[in-house]
This record gives sequence, C-alpha cells and structure tokens, in this order.
Amino acid sequence: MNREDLIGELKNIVGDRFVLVEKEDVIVYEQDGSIFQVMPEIVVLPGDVEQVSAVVKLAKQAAVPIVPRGSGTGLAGGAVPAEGGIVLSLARLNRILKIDLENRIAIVEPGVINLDVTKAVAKDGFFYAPDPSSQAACSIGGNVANNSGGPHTLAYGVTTNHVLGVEAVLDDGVIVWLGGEVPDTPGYDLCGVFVGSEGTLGVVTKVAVKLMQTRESVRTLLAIFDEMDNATQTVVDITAAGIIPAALEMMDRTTIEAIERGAPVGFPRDAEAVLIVEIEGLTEHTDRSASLARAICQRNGAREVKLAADEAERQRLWKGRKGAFGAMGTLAPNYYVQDGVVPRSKLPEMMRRIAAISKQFNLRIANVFHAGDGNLHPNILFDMRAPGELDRVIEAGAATLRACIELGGSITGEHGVGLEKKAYIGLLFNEADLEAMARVRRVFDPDNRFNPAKLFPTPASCGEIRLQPAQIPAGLWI
Amino acid sequence: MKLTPDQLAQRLAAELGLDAVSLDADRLATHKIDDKQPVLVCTPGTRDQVSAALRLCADAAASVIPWGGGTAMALGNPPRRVDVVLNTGRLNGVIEHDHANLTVTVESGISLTALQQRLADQRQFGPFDPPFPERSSVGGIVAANLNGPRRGCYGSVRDLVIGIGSLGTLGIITELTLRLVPLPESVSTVVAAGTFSQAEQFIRELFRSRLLPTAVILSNERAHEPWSVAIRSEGFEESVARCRRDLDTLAVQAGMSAQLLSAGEHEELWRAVRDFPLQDKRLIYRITLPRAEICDFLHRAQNWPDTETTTDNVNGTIWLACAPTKASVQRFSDLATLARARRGHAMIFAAPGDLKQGFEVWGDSPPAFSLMRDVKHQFDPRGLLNPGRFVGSL
Amino acid sequence: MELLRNKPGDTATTKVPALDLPELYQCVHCGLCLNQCPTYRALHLEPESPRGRIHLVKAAAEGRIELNDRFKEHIYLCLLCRACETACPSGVQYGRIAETAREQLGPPGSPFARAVLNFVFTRLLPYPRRLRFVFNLLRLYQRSGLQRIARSLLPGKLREMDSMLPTVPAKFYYPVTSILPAIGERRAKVAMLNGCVMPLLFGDVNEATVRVLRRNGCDVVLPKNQICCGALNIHNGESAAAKQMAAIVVNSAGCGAAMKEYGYLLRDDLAYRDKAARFSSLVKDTGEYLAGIGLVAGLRPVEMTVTYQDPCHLAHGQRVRAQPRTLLQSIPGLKLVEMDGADRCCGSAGIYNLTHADMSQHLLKEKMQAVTATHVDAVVAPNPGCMLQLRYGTQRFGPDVKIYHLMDLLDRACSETDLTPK
Repeated sequence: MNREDLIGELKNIVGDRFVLVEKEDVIVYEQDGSIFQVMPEIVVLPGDVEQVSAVVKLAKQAAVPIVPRGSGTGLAGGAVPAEGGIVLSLARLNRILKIDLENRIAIVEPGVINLDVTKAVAKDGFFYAPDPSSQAACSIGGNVANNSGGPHTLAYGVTTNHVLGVEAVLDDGVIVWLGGEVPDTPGYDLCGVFVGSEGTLGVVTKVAVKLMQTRESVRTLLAIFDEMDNATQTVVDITAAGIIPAALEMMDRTTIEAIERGAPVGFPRDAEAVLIVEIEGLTEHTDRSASLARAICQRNGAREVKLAADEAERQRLWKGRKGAFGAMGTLAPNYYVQDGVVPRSKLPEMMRRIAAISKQFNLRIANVFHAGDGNLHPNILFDMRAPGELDRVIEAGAATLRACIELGGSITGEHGVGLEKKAYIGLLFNEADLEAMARVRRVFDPDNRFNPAKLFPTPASCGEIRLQPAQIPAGLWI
Repeated sequence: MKLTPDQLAQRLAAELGLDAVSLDADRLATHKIDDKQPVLVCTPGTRDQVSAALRLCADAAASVIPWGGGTAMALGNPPRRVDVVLNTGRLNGVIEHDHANLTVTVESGISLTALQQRLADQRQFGPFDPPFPERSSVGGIVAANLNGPRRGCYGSVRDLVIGIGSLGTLGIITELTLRLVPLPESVSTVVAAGTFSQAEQFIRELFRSRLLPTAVILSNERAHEPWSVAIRSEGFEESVARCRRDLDTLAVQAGMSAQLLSAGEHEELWRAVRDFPLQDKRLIYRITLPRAEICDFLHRAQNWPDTETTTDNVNGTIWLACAPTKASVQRFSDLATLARARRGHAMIFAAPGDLKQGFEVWGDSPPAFSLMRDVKHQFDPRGLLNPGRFVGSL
Repeated sequence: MELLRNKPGDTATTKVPALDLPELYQCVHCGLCLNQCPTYRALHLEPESPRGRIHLVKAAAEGRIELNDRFKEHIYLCLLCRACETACPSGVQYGRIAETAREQLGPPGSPFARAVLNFVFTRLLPYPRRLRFVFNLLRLYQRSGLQRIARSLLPGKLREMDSMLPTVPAKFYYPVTSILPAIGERRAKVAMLNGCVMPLLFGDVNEATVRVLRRNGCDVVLPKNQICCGALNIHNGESAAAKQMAAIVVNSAGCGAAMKEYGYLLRDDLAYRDKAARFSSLVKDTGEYLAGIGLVAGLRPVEMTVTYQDPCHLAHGQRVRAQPRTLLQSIPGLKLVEMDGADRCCGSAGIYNLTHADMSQHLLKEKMQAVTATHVDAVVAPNPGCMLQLRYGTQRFGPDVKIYHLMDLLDRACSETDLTPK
C-alpha cells in the first residue's frame, strides 16, 4: 500500500477533514508536553470506536506505527511519534457515556477531559479522584496510558485504583472489554496491565471509572518555611504521626517565584518552601487532623501556618500549585521535569542531593512535588540556546534519577517512561523484570507497532528526535 | 513427569537440602487439592531455592502447585495434574518494615497474623481481611485476590500490592511490598436489625449520607427474616462517636433497632464475616455486582432453603453459603444469568472437589480470554504451574 | 512501506525574523489552554488551538513551514478572545503573537473582501461624519420598507447576512455639551470614550452610562473630535484631557482593551511611548471604575433575573470579571444566575461573525443553549459586539430574552422611573 492509498483509505474511514497530512497541520502534533519532537506523517482523528478499529486494522495492513494521543499534555514524550507514522488523536472521542451515581461509576470515552468528569457530577456531590495538575486539559485516556496521579493520590490512589474496566482496540482491530463495571472479574487483571502501558498495548476507547462522594469537610493548610530541611522533615513527621492527608504538596523558592511571576496567587516570595496540607473527611476528622498537622508544622519551625478561610482561598492555593509547571516559562525558555520517587523518610536527604546537583551542574532546579508520596518533580531550568547546556541538563537529570534509585526509590511516579526515561529504566528493573514486561507486550502487540520505541530501553531511531527549537532572542529571561 | 518421584526428590534435595523435600505419606495427604494428592511436597527456604525448584520441576516436566497457608485451595477448577506442591511456609520473614513510609517488604509465606503482630509495635497494620488470617499467607492472599469487607475504605489487594490474582498460574510470588495503614484510634460496630426492605432503605440512606464507614455488611441466617446490617467505623474517637449517633438516627428512620456491639461481639462478628467465603463443607457462591443492584438481586435469589447470605454492600459482593449438594450446583446458571443481567458476574468460590467436576467454577468466559491464554503461554509455555485451576482451565 | 519522514532541522523555506517573538518561548507546551479555546473545543484539532497556533508561528519563524494559505486559515480561525491567556500559567501573551502573525500575513479573505475591510478601517471608522452618514443610510434602508423588499430578492447567503444587520435606532448620541457635571457631591472628573459605533447603535447605552457616572459624583467629559478608540488622540500631544482626569472610562470592552495596550503598541516610539503608557494606565472599563469608587446613588429595585456574559476583551483582555458582577448584585431585586461557560466567546469577535460565519454561529448556538439553561429574563454583556451577537442569537436560536449593557440596568436602578419589564 502506498502513501496515497493509505491516506485515501483513512479518509474513507473517518472523513476528509479528520485526516491531516499537510505539513502546516501535522507539525503541531510533533510534540506533547515534553521537549521532544518528531513529526508524524499522518494524523487521524476517529469519531467512534468502529473508526478506531478500522484505522488500527489498516495500519497493521500498511505496517505503519500508530501512536495514540489524548490531549498531548504528557511530560515524558509518550505521545511523540518516535518512529513517525500515524498519530491517532482521540480528542473527538469525548463523550461521557454514562453516569451511574447509585453505583458510583461513570463510563467515558478516552478524549474526555479529566476535570469534565468531576464537573459532570459535582452538583450531585461526587468527584473523580485522580487529579493531575493538568486536569483542566489532560484526557482520561492519557491518564489511563500513564497511570496518572495527582496531589490527591496520597489518600485516594492513582488512576489504576479508579479504573474498573477499559474497552480497548487490539492490534488486529478487535474491540474487547478488559475488566468491567465491577471489580474482580475472573481471569488475569488485564485491565490493570493496560493501565500505565503508555499506549504500547492497544488503544483504549472506553473507560469505566469510579466516582467518589465529596467529603463533608475539607481543611487546607498553607505552611511557610524558611528552611527546606524543616519542610521536608514536617512531611516525614505528619505521615509518621498516622495522619493521612488527602494531599501534601511542596513548592520551593524557585517554584514560588515562577508561580508569582506567571499567575500570582500570593505565595510569599521570600520563603524557602511552602507546604499545602489538605485533609478531607467528616468534620470531626478534619478538625483533629488539621490541628495535629498544624502542631507538627509549628514544631518544625514553620514561620506561619494558615488555614484557608473559604473555598475561594483554597482554590487560589491549588491554582498556584497546579499552574506551577506551566509557570516555569516565566523563569526560563525550557524546563526538563523529572518524576522521581523516594521513600518519604528520604525526602530531606533527597532535597539536599538535588541542591548539590544543581550546584554541581550550575543549573537552576525548581522543585514542586507530591511530598506525601515522595514523588518529586525537580524542574531543571535551562536555555536551549546556551551551547552545551542541554547536555548538562541531561546529565543532571540522570544524576537526580540515580539519586532516587540509590535512596530506594523509582524513576517515575506518575508521568510515565515514554521517550524520556526509557534509557534509565534499566536502572530500576533487571533483565528478568523487563523480559516479563516484554512477554506481556508480545501478547498484545507482536509487531511492535503501538507507540514503538517507548517504555522499553530499545534503541530507537534516536537520531531523528529533535529537541525543542534553538533560535531564541536574547534578553527576555531575566 | 519424566522422572519418578524419588528421582525428582533426590535432585531437589541435592540442591535445596534434605529438609526442603518430603515424600512422607501423611504430609502428602495434608496437601491434597480437590482430593488429588501430590507425589512430593517441596518447601524451599529462600527465593533462590524457589527458583531452583521451579527449574528442576520444569526439567522433569512436573506440574507445580503453589501452596501458601492452604486456606484457599478450594478455589478454582480442579487441577489437571498435581505433581509437586511447592509450599512457601518457610519463606516467612519480614525483610523490611519501613514504618516511616508505611510499607513492609515480606517473604510470601508469612501468615497474615504473624505479620500483623510484627507491625503492631509501630501501631500499623496491613489492611487485609482474608478468611483465616492466622493461616493464610500473604502471597496466597495476593495470588487468590482475597479481599475483605474493608477494601472500600483501605483499597483492594490490587491497590495494596502489584501483580495480583493470577492464582499462581504465571509464577510464584516470593517477596512482596505492601502498603500499611496506621491502626485507628477507635473502632466500633453498630448492628441494625429489621426486615429486608427496612435494611434496604437503611443502606440506601447510609450511602447518601456523608458517613464513611469502613465496612457495611448485610446478612441473614438461613431464614428469610430478620436481616441485619453491620456497620464498622474506624478513626478518631470523635469521628467514630459521630458515626454512632448518625447511624442511630438512620436506623430509627428506617424503623430498625440499632445496637452497639461490645468488643467481644465485634470481634466475633467480623471473624464470621471474614471467614465466610472459605468455610468448610459448604458450597460458596460469590456474586459481584454494581452495589446498588445487590438488594434487587437478593430479592430475586433469596428464597433458597438452607442458604446463608453475607453481602458486602460497599464493594458489591454477595456471598451465598449453600448445602454442598448437586442441587446447589445446579443453581449456578440461574445465578450467573441474574448477575450478567446486572453487569456483574457469579462464580463458585469454594466447593468440595467432587462437586466441581465437569464445569467452569469461574463462570462466564471473560471476553479477553484468548489474550489471557496468550499471557499464560508466554509465562508458562508448558502449562506446568497450577495447571487447569484458573479461568478456562488455564 | 516507506513514508515521507521529516528530518530534524528541516528548513523548508526562509526564516521569518519578524515572527520570532519572545512570547513564543514563554510557552512550554503544557496544553492548559486547549480546553479553554472555543475553536479547539468545537473541532478538537490541535492546529486550531492556541498551543498549536503558537507552534505554527514558531515553526514559520524558524523557516520550517511556509506562510501559506493553510497556515493563514489556522491563524484567522482564531477569535482572538484570549481565553487562553487566562488559562496560561506562564502568562504567555497569545494575543500579541496572533496579531503579529496576522500583520505578517495580511488580512484574510478574497481580494474584494480585503478591499472592503480596508475601506471600512481606514476610510470609515476614523471619520465620525462619514460613519454617521452611512448609518443614516442604513436606517433609511431599514425603515423605508426597502429592507423587506430586498430580503425577498436577495440570494440565501446575502439574506442571512442582511438578517444579521443590527437595527439602527432612531436616535444617535452626540451630546452638544462636552462637559456634563456631576449630580450631587462631585467626587471625580472622568473622560469618557463615546466611540465610533457606540453612539450610532447604542446611543441609549452611552446616554445611560453618562447618567450613571454623573449620579455617582463624576463630572463626565466627552472630548470633541474623537475617532475610533483613538478619540482621546494621544498623538495630539499631551492630551489636555488626560492630564487632569482621574480616569478615562470606556463602556466598550474591545475599545478598553485596545486602549490599555497603547503603551505596548507605542513601545518603540521614543516620542510617545511614555505618554502612551501613562494614558493606558488611566483607562478603565466603566464597570471596573464604578466598582472601584463605589456607588453612592440610591438604588431602586429592578425585579429581574439575569445572567452575565463576560465579554472576552473584558474578562480575558482586561481581567475584569468580579466588578461587573458586584455592581449587578448591588441592585436590589436583581438576581444573578451564572451560566455555564460565561467567559466563553459568543462568536462575535469583531467581524469574525462575518468572516467565519459557521464557527461563529456554532459558538452562538452553544451560548444560547447555556442561556436557556439558566431561565433568566435577560443577559447582561457590557460590550456592543457581544450585545449585537446575542440579540441576533435570541432571534435565531432563542430564548426570547432581553440583552442589556451593564449600564442599562445600573441606570434603571439609579433613575426614578420604574423600568421593570412588564
């Protein structure tokens, strides 16, 4: 099958307007939320599951790679078509198909925006728990692919804990349900396997998610610290005291500066770290937990501990936290975000190591992270124009990941491996572990056509991956 | 098997040591699976020994049945072949309890009760409630995906560890890291008793309230009425007290009488709930449903004689314990149809071996069965691990 | 099969330094703008999103793609509503990127359409007298019965465009005196933009605005010789008016947003940039200004349920959201019900409703559905473009509700006559 035939067939399946081939169209699909760029040849936007199935079948026939894409907000290059081919955008599969409040289930298509699920049920007192910072833009399908977390992961778990089943299109175009609307479906937990598989096993076309009931009471504390060590110690102490907050988030001085420059919310710019502690539950529970948490903050030398007075103030705190990544643009033209995990008790040590890495490589690093999970997000700030800087950034990134592993942690908490970290996955898993994963992959995708060159440390045609552009006018980044 | 039991025993003993292998008839008799006796019981003492044992058995083309505490051996289809039972009982160490991070890494053969005792020093626990925790091994809980009534609050087995529910058909778990939870300051149980429709109303209103019970169990004993709803609350003293007050009000509104259990009654009740799915000499059905369908389902299926019902209303699981008779088995297709119509599924969770012959205890074949078969083939191409017991006789 | 592969560093064409804006590099591609963009929401195509357009401009600047018609379509499908700026955590000023790209590309459409637009912008809008003449003609056309005859003869497309023509009111607003004194205690002196189209289509709103300002203690100066948004002509040297004014108030969101940008627009003009910056700092939306100084006039009840449409150039362009709502809620008897997506563009967007009728109507339809769901008597939208579009929306899609400017309702509440709808 030649290119023209393939395009013609694709147009027959999804309609002319939803097959993009012009350079001025496909070029915008060369990147996601990461810094990697590879241009697809064709972008297809199917409108229903049958079209997805037909496109997948056709891709198999034509032996073309196929890369599923949600909203393209991922930070590890998961939606970048590393080997070109077809980008399959699921943005048009964006219907909420069913909301069943009695059973606390929603069935949604993969292109539905994460926050829209919560919006659809909020008036009835429910919410969808996983809340990545990009939740106003990221899709449920993308969340499933990356097993995304979010600040409230601490109490409620990550995506896999909230997905009961997925409908998926397999490599031969067959449409199948894995899991269902109830847990414990007999057989291997293939739904669990699919969640977090980064688009390497098939295309998710429906997702059955759990809905949770909004808690009676929410208390949100903002603790301000003059020393990073005191802030990290507070995190260790809060969880050690048996308090499980719904969220426990930390931002360092550099991050605060970025937020306050971009879309200010009133974090004190002279603080070394701020901690957001959020507690949810019955009023009796949140009252006691909040006062315990406050006491721990104060015992660790917090300069100030503020309780959000109302929902508006709480929303403001979260707006700052959730906009932190995007706000990095106010400090530097490029940032490279890491997603390492360390045991909570190792946080103070890890933050010291990051400070040392920052010094060693002479790079600014902004830290904003899910402290309660020990899930770090060091953002290495840099300027692609500066000769040799990117190399230092990549080395510094590797150094932080190595530090995570040395302290007993992992290289990804929630962003996925994607293109970004596949070279490092060998640090975490031994050959037998990787072979076990490869066996699963072989079952689902024997031709290695779904999102190739991702996740596994196989050498890809890396030479063709373009890092974000280089020509930048000087003088903007103060 | 390509070797005689003696030959295999010798090879195993040579590599694992004499005390790791047994051909003792009494010991073999205690390791029957659905009345099939193994030819050899192997008890490796380390992870490497498990690996060596599996290699030697594979070389000999001997099937291997993993065995933890042996509490859930009635689960699954009758095995096709029982050659070697691999008992993980000696793998019973706690490798690391990282109390600051609320995790523990253990060897798979440790019993849950032994683990909980170790964790209690730091006022923590592993939030699992499988039947017979004093015997059931942590690895077995994971392999068999044995969830208890508190999963709605603390998470299911799948949420608390990684790689679950394959019933030992893909490999043998040797070590696991588990998430832990701080022991609650206070625990109490309120039981409300009344008619079925009162219980139904009570539960509906309970779920509409903002209370966050750790478990809600609806049960009856062999007779149609009365039904009782047990609600377990955990947390700070004041939170638990608040729950008790609100539950009293809800019960009164539903026309039921509510009673606060004493510590002894509380222990007794939850032990019964926990052990219900694997009780001896009964045929146990498990029906999993979207939880709001439970009462309607029970309404249609409750008129059976000699059947006890225990349902977990938070998680949508119905357990029926029936007489271990052919007549009980014949209800399976009705139950499966009722469950399917409500987007759920039904299975025979446990039954005496003779009753399980000739049909699929796991119920309807899952839609992705061919994928499961391929997965099994990738991990166990010769079909030697727990052959036949899992879904579709995998 | 071997497909075309774009090699890294491909330069298909020449670089365009004029497009290489610093703002481009503030975008870190996070995607938080996508779901706020009306055209992306409608089409789900990345090239029709803010992030996509920024990416395209960046690629064009680098010479990776050509400035061809396809590129131009993407840039001009944008409404310039700037909802993406509100969503952007990095504070990327997308509007500036898009406007620069448009400058580079030239106006859209056929040569004829371009000639018409050029005429309107350079020959008509800056000349109040010519503009008045045109509107007089239009009024004549509408009232003489000619329009009715024309409609029966015009082909479909033109008929539809004709139906979008606003009805020209009987009265224009060009007060004879240029200083209208405060009523009651004098608190401030403000200059007001009468505007180009406002006095012709919304003379009553301007009249109401002046009354509200006066009743709340403002001397209102309406400088003579105003031209399109440049009325208080900053090129006329140090504007006499601006010097002594507490504020320059504007009741049209689009004009206000533009005037607040003068400092930026003239940033390279050594002679005027300081004056322009000072001028811009004085510009206030009328609602913003009044909420700031606080209402002192007594307020009578206006029994009405309304919803508030955020004009894009007010909410996103000027970040004014709370103030108009506060003023509305201060009116006794008036109930404000928020609609879904109140700050989403109604599809008016200047002349967008003419150049991109399909998209515009799609957005208007959704907007009217959101209005319908609120069961209100009226929509308040303090901007002429939005008011015209919403009025058209009530005719085409329903519901049958009134469209008011914020000043209409404040004027009712401040004045003695009871104007509650019957």
